[in-house]
Amino acid sequence: MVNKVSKKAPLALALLAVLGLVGCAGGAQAVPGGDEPIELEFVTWQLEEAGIQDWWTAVIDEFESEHDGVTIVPRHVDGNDMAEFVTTRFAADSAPAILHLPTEVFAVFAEEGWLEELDSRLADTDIPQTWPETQSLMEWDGTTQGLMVFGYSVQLFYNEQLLEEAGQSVPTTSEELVAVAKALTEGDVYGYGSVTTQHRDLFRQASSYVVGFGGAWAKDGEYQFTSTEVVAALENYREVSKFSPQGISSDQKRELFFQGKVAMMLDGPFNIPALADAAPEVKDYVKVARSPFDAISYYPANGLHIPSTGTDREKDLAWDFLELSASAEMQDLFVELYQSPAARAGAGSEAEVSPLLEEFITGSAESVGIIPSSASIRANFGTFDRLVQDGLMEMLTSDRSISDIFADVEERLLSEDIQP
Amino acid sequence: MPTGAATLPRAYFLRLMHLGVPVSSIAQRAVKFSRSKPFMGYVFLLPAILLALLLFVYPIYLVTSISLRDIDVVSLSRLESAPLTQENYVQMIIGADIGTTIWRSVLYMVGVSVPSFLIGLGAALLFNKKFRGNRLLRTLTLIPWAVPGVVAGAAFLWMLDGSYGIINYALASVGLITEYVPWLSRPETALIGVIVPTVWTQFPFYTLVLLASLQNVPVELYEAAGMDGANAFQRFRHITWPAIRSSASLALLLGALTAFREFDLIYSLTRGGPIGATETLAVRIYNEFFVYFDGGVAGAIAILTMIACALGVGVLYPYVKKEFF
Amino acid sequence: MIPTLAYPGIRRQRRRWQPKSIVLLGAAIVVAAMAIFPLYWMFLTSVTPMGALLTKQPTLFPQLELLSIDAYVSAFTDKDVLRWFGNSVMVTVGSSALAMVVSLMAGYSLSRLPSRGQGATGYALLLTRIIPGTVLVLPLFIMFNSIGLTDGLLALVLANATIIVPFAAWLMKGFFDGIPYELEEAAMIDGCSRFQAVCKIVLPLTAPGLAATALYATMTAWGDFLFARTLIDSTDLWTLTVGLSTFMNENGTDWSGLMAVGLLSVLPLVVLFFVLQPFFVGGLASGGVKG
Repeated sequence: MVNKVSKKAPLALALLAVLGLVGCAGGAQAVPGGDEPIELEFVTWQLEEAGIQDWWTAVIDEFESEHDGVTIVPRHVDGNDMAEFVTTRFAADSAPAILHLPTEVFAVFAEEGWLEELDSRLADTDIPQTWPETQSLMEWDGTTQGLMVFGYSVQLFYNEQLLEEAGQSVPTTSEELVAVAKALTEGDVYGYGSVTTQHRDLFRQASSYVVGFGGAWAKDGEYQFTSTEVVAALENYREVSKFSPQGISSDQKRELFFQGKVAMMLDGPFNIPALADAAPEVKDYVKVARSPFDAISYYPANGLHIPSTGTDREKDLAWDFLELSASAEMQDLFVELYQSPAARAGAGSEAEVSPLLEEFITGSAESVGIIPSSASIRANFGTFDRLVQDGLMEMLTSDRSISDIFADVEERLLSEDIQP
Repeated sequence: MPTGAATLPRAYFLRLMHLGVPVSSIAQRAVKFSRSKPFMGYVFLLPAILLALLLFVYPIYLVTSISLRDIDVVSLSRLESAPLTQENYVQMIIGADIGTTIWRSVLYMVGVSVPSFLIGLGAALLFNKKFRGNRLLRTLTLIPWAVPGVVAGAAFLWMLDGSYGIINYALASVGLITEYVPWLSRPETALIGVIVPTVWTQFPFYTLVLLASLQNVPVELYEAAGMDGANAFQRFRHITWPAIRSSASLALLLGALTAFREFDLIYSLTRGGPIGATETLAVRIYNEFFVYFDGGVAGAIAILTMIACALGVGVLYPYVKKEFF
Repeated sequence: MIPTLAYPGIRRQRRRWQPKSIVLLGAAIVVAAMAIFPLYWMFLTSVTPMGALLTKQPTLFPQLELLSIDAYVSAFTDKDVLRWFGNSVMVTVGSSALAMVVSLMAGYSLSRLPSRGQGATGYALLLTRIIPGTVLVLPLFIMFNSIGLTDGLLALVLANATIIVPFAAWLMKGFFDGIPYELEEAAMIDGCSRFQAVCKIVLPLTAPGLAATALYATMTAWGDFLFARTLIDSTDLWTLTVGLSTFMNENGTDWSGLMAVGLLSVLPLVVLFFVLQPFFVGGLASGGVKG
């Protein structure tokens, strides 16, 4: 059988072939040790995003000025390609020194034992006291394996001018949201911007409806897909999405909102710095109101992690980077540059912030997290996400009853042994 | 060194042609009478073989190994220690709906190849005629072939947009649709949505190959047929088609294979969605690896795909060899 | 059965205007217009500001008062388009050159120097042509990484060359088959070595075939996306196809910018097409695919 053969043999053969073919394949790299100069790779999808990119640059600059001979190599990877990038790197045993991951997929990698345990390091800091409760999502197998960077509550962005022209007032309930969206949809303009295509944000957005209606995907070891709250929430999502451009992802939704083609959208505070690029005639009319749902949903978006595969020196330096990003000074800067609430309690209270941020700050306090707590769901998030998204797409593109669609989804999840 | 080396062979070649020796038989004779030097033959083949060894053999070994391991997110250092299992194959066959994916791949392959071929043939017949501006228009027609998959993907993503796309506008203007269709996000239309751009990039390939072989059809045959009173269809049926049949079948084979392994275009348009409606085998393997984090099943599907390829090519190869070599 | 266009010296008789040729011209204009419409639409999108694009009543012709080349300007000032372009050129030239040499040798061997296992080699070449890139990309990354080649253009050159060689070797074999062996023999009798005979006699005759193969190689390498996005990490080493994806980010899709750079990425191939295309049709006619 193939697998009896040493895996080194074909590799050696391939190596020989390369040497023969290319003449000389790059010289051996000096192994860094002691205090020799070292490069730390830092991977994120946020280096092209308004606001946050400036914050990362500031953290990197500060870190490099504090650490002689240490260079941070920032790598931008598109959000859609992040999972592929990380998978490929782990597969080749060459994970970057500092990893930035969406919270949902964190567990997939933690489950493989690839992330460093941070409890003892965290114990020497004030992070456990000053970080939000969602920091507990960074725990896996009883240990903390990450530092929560950013989470946000979801509120209602609206275009005041479009609402006024149509004589509508800001919706305060889910029924009003549908009614206003309907009234505003005419010609090139849509009343509401909704994720209406298969996209990683489809699950997140649907989750904020479910949470907003007081439901949850899973509770007490049972799936809640066919509970009244979830069905009502998804019914509302289906209904309001009829007044949204079809086939759009979250980024297209934002683009259309900033171009004045979409009048309302539920989204996070990170849109505020992006306002600078909005169409001039839209910029001044963008307002934020409280989400029209009963409960405010909170998305604990992403965290920083240290792969356990690195050398001790790399891990120590990576931890310094994490700690620096969590420092009071950097957290203040976070609020100022990203115009979004920072993780550290009380950070940025002096910072000059947009009035639009207010609702997000007050809203965060009463919000409910959207990430399912089941370990089985989190460890198999790729498959879970796909199956729920399939259900959501069927819901958006057919007339089939929601409870039927999601009864099927539940059955498929259980057949894949993904337990609530 | 012979004087006038550059003109000699052409004169020689034309003389042979003049004597009525067809090109193909000259070539066959050449091979037959060549003083074969097997050793040199291998030396010349060596770089190609090395490259193939380097970039195919090890990957295939690795994928085989992955497919036989109980592993979700692949890691080289853990691969050897992961327990051996047939579970991935079992799961692929019973749990992963593999039949649907294969059927979708076939549908996409046929859905792309047949229209591309017909459009390509039509264009080739047209550009085989003599008229002013032929060369310029012909070159313009062939350009889509050169457009990279991701660029074509971006262009059609925009043209097929469900709210502001030109294609919806055009179809609504002529009354073919009453309301705009989000082509790429509806399961029942998404496959058409990825087939149309693929046809756009592929049909010029058929035009090119068929045009080349049409130029080899002697004009005298048409003139004779014209005197016999044959109509256009009869001329095509009895003269043109027999002359281009073999290159047409080869082009179809190669084109279909290109469609089979297409990834860039589908990925940039739909990533295999919605609800897997555009998830062909090539895209499925990618998604299993990187989106669903199921390396073992991805490996099993990859092996299945390769076995299917090997068998398919094995069946067609004798025919291909006869026609092509 | 002389392949006409392969020998540009031989020309068909002069064309004249006839009613029939006007009909043909009309039909050809329609076909060509349909073929390049998506490119035209990309152009129109690239010179129209975002606000004017998002309408259900698009105009088919440029709105002169809105015309703007901002998308092109910002592509060069805000994004590293020139660098991506340079990287694409390097990868394309490198992998095409490597693939051309390798497939030229392989094609010659398959055509002229029959050896055992030739059939198997032909089969293997065809098979490697079909395997989806998605099967190869992860193992290739692992392999290149273990020998320190990832995140370098060399890895891309090798990966692309491998994809090009099988089909290119096939094409080349066909072209060599179309050249009578007697020509080389005659030259060798006149005192040329085999190498000289090939260089001085066979290669000039296969020029159209070489052009066809080179065009195929260039298109394949230039258009590659899958390998480039996986094997390359540094933004400094991105190729055009990878750089394009930055126009679609968290805050939206910049259609004008995307179309501007997309169009720029097609431009070199269009130029190449116009230069090489006459050879290409002729090249295929002369033997690549038997008529």
